[in-house]
Amino acid sequence: MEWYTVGLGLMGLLILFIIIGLPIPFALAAASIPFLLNIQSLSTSLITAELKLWGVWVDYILLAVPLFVFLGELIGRSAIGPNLYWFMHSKVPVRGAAAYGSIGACAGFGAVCGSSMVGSLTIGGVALPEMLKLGYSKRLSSGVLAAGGTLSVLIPPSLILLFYGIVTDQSIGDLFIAGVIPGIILVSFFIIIVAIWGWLRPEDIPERDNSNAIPWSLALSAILPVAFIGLIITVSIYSGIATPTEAAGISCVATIILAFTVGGLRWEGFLGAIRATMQTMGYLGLLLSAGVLFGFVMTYYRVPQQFTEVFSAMELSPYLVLGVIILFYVILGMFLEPVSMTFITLPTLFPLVAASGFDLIWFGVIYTITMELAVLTPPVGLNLYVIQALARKEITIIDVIIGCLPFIGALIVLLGLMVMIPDIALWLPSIMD
Amino acid sequence: MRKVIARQLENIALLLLYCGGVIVIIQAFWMTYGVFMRYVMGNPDGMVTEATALMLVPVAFFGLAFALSKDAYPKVTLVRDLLPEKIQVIIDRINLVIMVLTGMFFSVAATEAAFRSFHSGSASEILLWPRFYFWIPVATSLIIFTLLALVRLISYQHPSSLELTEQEDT
Repeated sequence: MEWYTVGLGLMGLLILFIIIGLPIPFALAAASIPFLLNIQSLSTSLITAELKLWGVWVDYILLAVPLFVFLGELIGRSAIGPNLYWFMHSKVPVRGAAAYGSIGACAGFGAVCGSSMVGSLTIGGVALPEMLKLGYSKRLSSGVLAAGGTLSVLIPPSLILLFYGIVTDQSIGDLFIAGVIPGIILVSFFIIIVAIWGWLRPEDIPERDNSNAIPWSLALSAILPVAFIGLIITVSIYSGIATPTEAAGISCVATIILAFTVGGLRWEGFLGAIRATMQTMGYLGLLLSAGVLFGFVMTYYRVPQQFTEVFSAMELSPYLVLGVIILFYVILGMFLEPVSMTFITLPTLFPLVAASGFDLIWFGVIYTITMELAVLTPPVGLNLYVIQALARKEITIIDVIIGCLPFIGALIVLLGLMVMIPDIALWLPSIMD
Repeated sequence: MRKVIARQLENIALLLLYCGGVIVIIQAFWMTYGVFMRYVMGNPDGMVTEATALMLVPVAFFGLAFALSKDAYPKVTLVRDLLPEKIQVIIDRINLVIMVLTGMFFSVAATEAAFRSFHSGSASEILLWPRFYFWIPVATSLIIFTLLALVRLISYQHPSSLELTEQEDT
């Protein structure tokens, strides 16, 4: 079979399965298996599957995934997140404090949690009812929280950067540090958006936030664990004490201790964190295994290599190639969630990015920003639904979508800035080297 | 009868899930100990990297059946939801058939691997743990997943009629 027949056949089957609502890990596997059986006999295909299952999961770098997921779930189920939000807005005596506090809490939470959905759920779960009660408009409240959750994806540790590093074989430490400055810029953009929003539509933000001041003991019980865990992750990785995987392990142990001692975590919450982590792993286990099988078939027929050669032969400007890839991800992101997108498309597309001469660490941050856009764009924007589900009676999905629009604009501006000034992402890793 | 079997399988899925949770906690503490021994005591633990990486293999599959029981796999149902209920029933059944077949494929691969691993020796050159320590949990998780998917296929009901049945039960 020609490479394009296989490429189109695989993608066609995959799209068909996804459209009929087959869960994505099974869609990947079911699309690959017929082509695998075309290459090999059934018994050899089973051995290939066995080798791929073993090969993909005996991976020390991947070990960071369950640990970071568990860490995020533990913090999400303790009182650390809610208290962090309470501190962020009750100790900031400015108009719009609850909105700024939401952004600050999401950023702080992002420094210890790598999942955008957990970030939105944890901070949104406390901040959304509070903001609505204080008199903030539905659109501002839902928009700021849905967008704020995406900060967890860019500010290290980030699961998307971790997966990107595994697929493209880039340094996880470099990717994490490359996300820091873009993350800070994004936080600043979000703050500016809230300020401009309040200036253009003063009725959307109350004059005063009549909220109770948080006692300092409670405030410290939120700030110190977040600062401590964040420091463990960054300092241990960048001082060379630990690898990113070891940093995940150490911070996980620290989180268990802190969540029980100062974070008010209960046994039921701990079991809930285990269940949520293993549920995520259950989906990832098959997704990665099926993704590797899919990649094996693609590579056997040299689909990624041929695809890159065809694109390179067109002699398109590298920035046009980049523009097409970003547009592709923005459109695809409207229908697929980020982790699936990473394992379905990235193995084929990243060689093209490398062939166009772009730095893969820099592209990792660009890729992560497009994934942030993906969780905010309908019809399958995960964060939109997470936030709407938190106040189903008061807020419609349209409110959340409209509320997110300025923040989506900020993400697009950040993408533009990153393309114009790549050092935004590359400066910190170069200093660390 | 089918309900009883489904409940038993879900209980096993939960048991496997907690086994995975325990392993994750062991991995976290062992790695912390490894870093402590390396940097504080100057006496590195030679097993930690290999052992924790190998332990990830069962962890990746222990939650498989639980995720199915909670319908937690990501999927795009935009088109399916627009179709008439009769077509939705057919599509859902087709999806479950594909899930069962995929589960069977991976289950057979893992079971064969588990049997072969009884004779193939240790899991790695550094760590002399037998390879079947890791394949047996993977094969068990995949078999339980496939059986649960099969039970779901046999006793499939459209979500709307399922809600009605649940209301009647209450």
